[in-house]
Amino acid sequence: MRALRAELLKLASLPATWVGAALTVVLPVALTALTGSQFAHALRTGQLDALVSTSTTDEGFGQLMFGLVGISVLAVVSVSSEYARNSRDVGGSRQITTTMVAVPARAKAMSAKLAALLIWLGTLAVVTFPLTLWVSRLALGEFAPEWGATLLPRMLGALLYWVVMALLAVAVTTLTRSGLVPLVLLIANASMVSVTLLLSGVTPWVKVLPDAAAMATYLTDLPLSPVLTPAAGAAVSVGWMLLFCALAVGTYVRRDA
Amino acid sequence: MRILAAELSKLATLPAVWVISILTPAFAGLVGYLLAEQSAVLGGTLSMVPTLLGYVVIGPVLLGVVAACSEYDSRQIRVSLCATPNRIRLLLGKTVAVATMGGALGLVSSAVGVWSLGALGEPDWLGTTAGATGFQLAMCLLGFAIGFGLRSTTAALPTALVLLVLAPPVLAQLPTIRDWLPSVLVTDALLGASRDLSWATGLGLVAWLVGAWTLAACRLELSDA
Repeated sequence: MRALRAELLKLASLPATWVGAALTVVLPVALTALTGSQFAHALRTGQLDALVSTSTTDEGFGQLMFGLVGISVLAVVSVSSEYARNSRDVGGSRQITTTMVAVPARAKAMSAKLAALLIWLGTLAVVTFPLTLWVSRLALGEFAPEWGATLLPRMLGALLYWVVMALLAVAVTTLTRSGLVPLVLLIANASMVSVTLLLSGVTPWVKVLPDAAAMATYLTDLPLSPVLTPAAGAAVSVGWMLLFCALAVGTYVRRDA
Repeated sequence: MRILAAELSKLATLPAVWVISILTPAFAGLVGYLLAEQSAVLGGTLSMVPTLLGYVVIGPVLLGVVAACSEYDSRQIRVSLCATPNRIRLLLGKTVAVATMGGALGLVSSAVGVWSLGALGEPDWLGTTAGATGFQLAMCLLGFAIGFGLRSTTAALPTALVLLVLAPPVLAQLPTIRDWLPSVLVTDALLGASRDLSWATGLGLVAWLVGAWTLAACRLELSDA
């Protein structure tokens, strides 16, 4: 518990954490407001040419994907800040040396780091999900879909998507000790020009990639074909989560600081 | 000239620049090949260059951000300022060096992309390759200006990627905003069907490039290193 508390304090002391958290909340909400009102206007006036789809079931849920920009920043800095060097004026040291002195059991230290990140993600999801979906209903007006009993499972699916992608970012950052690769990978792949989408024209196995599998748990109009069922998507995502956790912890335990 | 030579040799010593310079053309080739595979269904090959650039643009943006932020990540900026105390001259030298690298990278990856699309020899393939090179150069310079303005890779990279890569497709339903985004303006000016460089497009493009560079220059001139 003390290691977890320390990791939570370390995360909260990073300015990038707060910027990432703000982006996680603001981007999905703002995009939902913008695209939702435009969508409703197009449906009201019958100007449907610019629309990729006229289905409104993914409105709000689809925009939660863009919270990934903030999530990526949060996940990357939680690890890369350990390896960033201080100013030479204060010795040019790295925080990782202090962390290892304070918590010599490396698996415990990394597990605490992952748990701290998941607590941040859960808190952000509690704020962002209801707000985004409420703004979506407000913007769509009479075209707002009835989610009914699917609302909670889809919200859990969206949370699963955030968690899988955050753990991917942590694993890649731990492997490369740099934030460049995971930031590029996750932010660029969150757009409509994702490499996953491009590869879907080549092989059907794209459906088991981490982002495609996790998206299948909460989106109904995925631009991929074929896609997994929500249950299969959740199972594959949990598998990816375990793999990324094992990669992060294993790398942290075995490599020199 | 000495500043330019120094900045070019500094860029050449960055491992990330070499990785980007190798991976971007390779990625352009791969994406071009995959798009060409699908073009039998979608139709056209040279017309797919803007789609190709939607993926490949990550390389030049990354190059610009890394070139700027490497000065601050390792505090190299202090040595740079000792060697060249005139800050605007330093920024100008750096900009020309990054433009040289970005232009070369843009030319190679555009040529590889057009080749892998199977569009070599199609009417206007040279003009399209030149347009794609200009597009990547502009994105590299914007990435550089954002990097110099924000001084941190963790801050600059998401900002640049969101503005230059993520925003155009996400805001597709909002043409009033989307049409003024820098990557859309450059695409319209250099790769549009008519390549009609209207006053509005040209002014918008110049405003983004000059505005971003001026903000970076102000930050460098007015803030402590």
